[in-house]
Amino acid sequence: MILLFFIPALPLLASVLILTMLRKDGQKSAVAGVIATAFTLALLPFLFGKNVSSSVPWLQLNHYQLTIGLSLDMLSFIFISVISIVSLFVQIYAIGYMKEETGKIRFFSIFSFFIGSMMLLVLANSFLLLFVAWEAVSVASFLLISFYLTREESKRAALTAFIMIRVADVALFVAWLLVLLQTGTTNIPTFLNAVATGQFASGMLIVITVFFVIGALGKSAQLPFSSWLPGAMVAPTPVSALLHSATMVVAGVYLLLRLFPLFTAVPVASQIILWIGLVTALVGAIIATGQMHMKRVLAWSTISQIGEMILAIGSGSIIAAMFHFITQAFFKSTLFLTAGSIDKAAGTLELEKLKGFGRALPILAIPFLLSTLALAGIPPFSGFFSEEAILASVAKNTPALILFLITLFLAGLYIGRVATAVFLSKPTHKFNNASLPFFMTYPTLILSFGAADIGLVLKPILLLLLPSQNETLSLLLRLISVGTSISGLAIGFIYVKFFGLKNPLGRVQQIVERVVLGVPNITVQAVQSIGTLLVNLEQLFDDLVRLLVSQTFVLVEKLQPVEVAFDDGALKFATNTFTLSQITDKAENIWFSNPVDTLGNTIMLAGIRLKPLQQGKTYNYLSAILLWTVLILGASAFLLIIISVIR
Amino acid sequence: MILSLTIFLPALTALTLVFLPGKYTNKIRTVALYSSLLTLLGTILLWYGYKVGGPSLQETVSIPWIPSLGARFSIGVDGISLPLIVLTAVLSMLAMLYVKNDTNRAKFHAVLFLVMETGLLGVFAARDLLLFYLFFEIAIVPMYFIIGIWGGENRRYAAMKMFLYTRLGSLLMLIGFLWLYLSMPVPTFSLDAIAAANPLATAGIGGILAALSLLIGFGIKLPFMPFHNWLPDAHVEAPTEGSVLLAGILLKLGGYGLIGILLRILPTATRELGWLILVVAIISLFYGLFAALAQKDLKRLVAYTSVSHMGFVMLGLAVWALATDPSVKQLALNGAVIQMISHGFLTGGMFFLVGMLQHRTGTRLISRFSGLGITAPRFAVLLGLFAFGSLGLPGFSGFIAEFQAIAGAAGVNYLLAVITVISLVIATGLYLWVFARMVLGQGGEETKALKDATGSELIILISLISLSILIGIFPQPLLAVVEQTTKLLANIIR
Repeated sequence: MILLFFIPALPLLASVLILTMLRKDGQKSAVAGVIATAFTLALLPFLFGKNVSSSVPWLQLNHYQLTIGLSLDMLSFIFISVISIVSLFVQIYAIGYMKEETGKIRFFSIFSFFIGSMMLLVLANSFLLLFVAWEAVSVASFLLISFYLTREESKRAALTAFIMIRVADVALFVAWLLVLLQTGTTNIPTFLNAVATGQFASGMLIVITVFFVIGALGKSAQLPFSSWLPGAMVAPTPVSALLHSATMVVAGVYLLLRLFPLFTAVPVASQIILWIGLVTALVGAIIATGQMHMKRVLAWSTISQIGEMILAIGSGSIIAAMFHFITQAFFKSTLFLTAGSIDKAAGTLELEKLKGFGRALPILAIPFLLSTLALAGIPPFSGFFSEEAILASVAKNTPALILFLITLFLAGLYIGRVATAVFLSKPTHKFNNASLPFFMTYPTLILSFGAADIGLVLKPILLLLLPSQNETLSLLLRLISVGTSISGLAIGFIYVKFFGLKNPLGRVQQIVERVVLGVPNITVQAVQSIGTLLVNLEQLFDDLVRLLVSQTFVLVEKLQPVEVAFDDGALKFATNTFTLSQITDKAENIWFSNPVDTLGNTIMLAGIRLKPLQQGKTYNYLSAILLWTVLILGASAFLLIIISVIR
Repeated sequence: MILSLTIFLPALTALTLVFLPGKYTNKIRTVALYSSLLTLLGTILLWYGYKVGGPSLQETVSIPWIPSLGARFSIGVDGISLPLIVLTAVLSMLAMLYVKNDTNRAKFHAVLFLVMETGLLGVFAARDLLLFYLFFEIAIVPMYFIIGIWGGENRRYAAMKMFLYTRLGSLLMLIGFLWLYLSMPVPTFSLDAIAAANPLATAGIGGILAALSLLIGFGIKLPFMPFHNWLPDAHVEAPTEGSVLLAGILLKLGGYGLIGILLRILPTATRELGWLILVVAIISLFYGLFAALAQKDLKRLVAYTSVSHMGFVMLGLAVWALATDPSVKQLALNGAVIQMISHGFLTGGMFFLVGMLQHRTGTRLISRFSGLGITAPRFAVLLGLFAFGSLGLPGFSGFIAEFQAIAGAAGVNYLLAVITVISLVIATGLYLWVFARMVLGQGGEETKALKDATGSELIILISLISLSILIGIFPQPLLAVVEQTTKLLANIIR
C-alpha cells in the first residue's frame, strides 16, 4: 500500500523540490524530474497484479462523508505504466529540448507536477480526489501551454484551453456532487456498487451519467470541445508529446473506462458516446488532412484517435479502448518528439518549408516512419492490433463500421501526406546540416521501437487478462481494414508526389474545420456582448443614482448658509466676550482678571475651532449625516406610531 | 470577558490616540498596529476557548443597557460569528500593517479604523437587535470619512452614494427590528428571545413585509442586484486599506444579517420568500461576473466580482428556504458562511494587490500591466494564486464554500446546480483573462520599471493566501465550528 502512495507522491515531491531547493540550477532540476519518474517506473513491477485500496475520511458533513484514498487495479495499473514510461522518455528528451530556454525551473517543476497529478487522477478512488487531480492537470496544462510568457498566441491558446476544459470540469463537479447527495459518500467503488445493484432511480442515474460523460468528453477534446487542443500546440513540444499521449486528453478516456458499469446500466449513454466518438474520429481525421503545420496535423490526429477510444467504450469494448490508449500513447509521443526535433533543427514546422527535410537529418526518419506505419494501422505495427480490436467492437453496427473504415483511410492519408512530404520528397530548400543532442535522439528512438512492437507484445497479454472481451474478426473484415489502411497511406504518398501539399479534401475539409473552430468563438462573442449590454444597463443605473446624489448635495448646500450664520454668531459671541473681558480686565484687573480671561480665551478658541468645519468636505458629510439621521428618526417614529395604531 | 475586552480594545486605543499629538505619526501607527495585533490575539483566544460540541452560543455577557426599552448589552459568539470575528481581526491587522508608513493625516485615519474595528467586532457579537444596530452604525460611519477624505478623485460622489444607499438599508433594517420588537408579547430586542418566540410566524403578509424590509436592508450591504450600485464606486474610490475592509468585512455585515439574524427571527416569512431570494441570488451570481468582464479598471473588476461571490451567500439562504432535507440545508448554510470567510481572504488579498500595483504605477488599468510574469514574478505568482483561488479551484477556501453551496442547490434541483456551475465557468474566464492580460505578454511601460513585492507586502499577501489554502486543505476545524450553529439553523422547522 505504501508503495502505491509513492507513485503520485514522487513526481509531486520532485516538483516541490525543484521549486524550493534547486532554484538556481536548470539542469539539475531536469534531472530531478527524471529521477522521480524513473523511481516510479521502478516501483511498477512490485505492484503488478495487485489489488489494493485504502481510504481515509477528509471531511464529515452530517451524514455526508468525503473521503480521499488510492486504489490500484488492472485499469489504473495500465495507466500508470504508460504514464511513467512515456513521461520518462519525454522528460529525458526535454533535457535536450529545453537546454537553451529561459524559465527551465518553472518548466520542469510544472512538468513533474503535471505527471504526478495525472498519476493521482488514475489512482484516486474517491471522486473528490479524482476531481482535485483532474483540476490540477488542467492548471498544469494551462501553465505549460502559456510557458512562453511573452508570446501572444500562447496567451490565447492557454486561455481557450483552460476555459473549455473548465466547462468539462464543472460538469464532472455536478456529477460527483449528485453522487455525494445520493450515496452520501465520494467513494467510487461504493458508487459503482450502488449502480450495479440498481439502487438508483433511473432518472437520476441518467442525469449523473450525462454529466460524467460531458466531463470526460470535454477533457478528451471531443466534439464540441475540440478546438482548444490544436491551439495548445504552442506549448514546448515535450508538453505536447505528453499532453497528447499519456496525460490530459486521455483523462476523459480513463474516466469513462473507470465508470464503465454506468454504461451497462444506462444503455442510451453508451449509444451517445459511441456516436460522439465516431463523429469526432471522422471530423478530426478530415480536418487533419488539410493542415499545413506538422503539429496541427498531429493535434487533430489525436482528437481523431481519442474519438476511436471513446467509440470503443461506447460499443462496449474496454479492451479495445485500453489497447488503443496504449499504442496511441507510444506512436503519438514519438511523432511529437520527432516533430520537436525537426522544429529545433529546421526552425519551422510549416510543411511547405520542410519538404525533403529528411535528407538533412536521416536519423529522424526511423522513429517517424515507424510511428507512421503504426498510426496508419499497417500490420505488424502496434496501431494495427488496437484498431483491429476497435473494428471488432463495431463490426455488427454497419453504419458505424463504414464511418470507422473511412476514418482509418483518412488516418493513412493524413499521416502518409506528412511522412511523404518531409521524409520521402526531394528537398526544395537548402537545409543546413543539423545535428541533435544525444538526449533528444535516443528517447525518441526507444519510444518508436515501442510504437512499433507494443501491439504484438501486448495483444496476448491483454487477452489473457480480459478473456471475456475477446472478439474475433472475420477474415474478410480483416482484409478490408488492412486494405483501407494501406490504400490510405499509398494515396497520401501518391497525392503528395503529384500535387504537392495541396489540401486533398478541398472545400469539405475547410468547411468542417470552420464549423468546428467557429462554434466556440460564437459562444465567447455571445458572452462578451451580454457583458456589454449589462454595462450599459449599469450606466443607466449610475445616472439615476448620480441625480439623487447631486440633489442631496444641493440640499446640503442650501442648509449651509444657516449653519454658517450659526457659526458666525458663535464666533461673534466669542469675540465679543473676549472684547468684553478685555475691557473688564482693564477696569477691574485686580479682582476678575484671571478667571474671565481664561473663559474668554476658551470660548474664542472654540469659535476658531468651529471655523474649518464650515467649509470643506467634513462639513458636508457631517451635515448629510445629521440630515439623514433626523430623517431616519422621523421615519421610524412615524412607523412606530402607525404600527402601534394598527395594533 | 475576553469577548468584551477584544471588542472594545480598538475603541479604547482610539480614545488614547485622540490625546496623542498628531505629529507623532510613527508612534500613532505603531500603537494602532499593536492594538490590532492584540485584538487579533484576543480573537484567537476566543477561537480556542470556543468548545465544539458545547452550546452554539458561548462567551455570553448580558447586562441591562436601556431598561426602559428592554434593551440589554448582550453579546456572545456562535459558529457563524466567531469565524467572522477572527476574519475582522486578521484583515484589520493587515490593513494597519499596510498603512504603517503612510503619513497622510495618520491620527484621524488610525482613530477611524480602530473605531470601525470595534463596530465590526461588536456587530458580529451582538445578541440584542438594538445593540446590533448601534454597532452596525459605528462600523459604517467611519467608512464614509475614510472614502471621503483619503479616497480617489471622485471620492465625494462615491462617499455620498454609499451613504445614501446604506442609510436606506439601515432605515429598512431598523423598521424590521422595531416591528419585531413591538410584536413580541413582552417587548424585547433580544435576538434569541425573538428567535424562540417567532412572533410573526402567523402574521401572514405582515411577516413577509417585515422579512422583505430586513432582506433589502441587509441585501444593500451584501449587496445583491439591484442594490449593488454603490459598491463599485465606493470600492474604487476608497483607499486600498479601505477597500480591503469594505469588501472583506463590511459586506459580511449583510451576509451575517441574512444568515445569522433574518432566518433566525423570521424563519416562516423567509421560507415564503425562498423563490425570490433564489432568483436574486442567481441574477447576482451572473450579473456581477458579466459586469466585471466588461471592466478595464482592475479594482472595479474585483469590486464587481464581490457581487457574484456574495451571490453564493444568497444561494445558501435560498436553499435553506427551499430544501426539505435538513442535511441539504445545512450544507448550503455551511457554504454560505465559508464563502464569507473565503471571500474575505481572497478578495481582501486581491484589493491589497491592486493597491500595491497602483501605489507603484499610479494606474489600475489592466491593459497597462502586462508581462508581470517576467518583471515581477512574485506579484505574478501571487496574482495567479488569488485568481485560481477566486475561481473556485480545489485546494483553496473558495472551493470548500462553493462545493457545499452547489451541493445544496443540487439537493433542491439538479438544474439549479447546473445554472450555478455555469457561473463558475464564466468566473474562470474572467480571472484567467485578467491573469493572461497582466502576467503574460510583452512587458508594458508600467511593468518594465516595476519593483517586485517586498517585505510587509509579501507578509500581507502570503498570509492571506496561506489562510485560504489552509482552509482549502484542512476545512474540518473551521467547519466543525460553523456546523455548531448551522446545524441548529438547518433544523428550524417553523
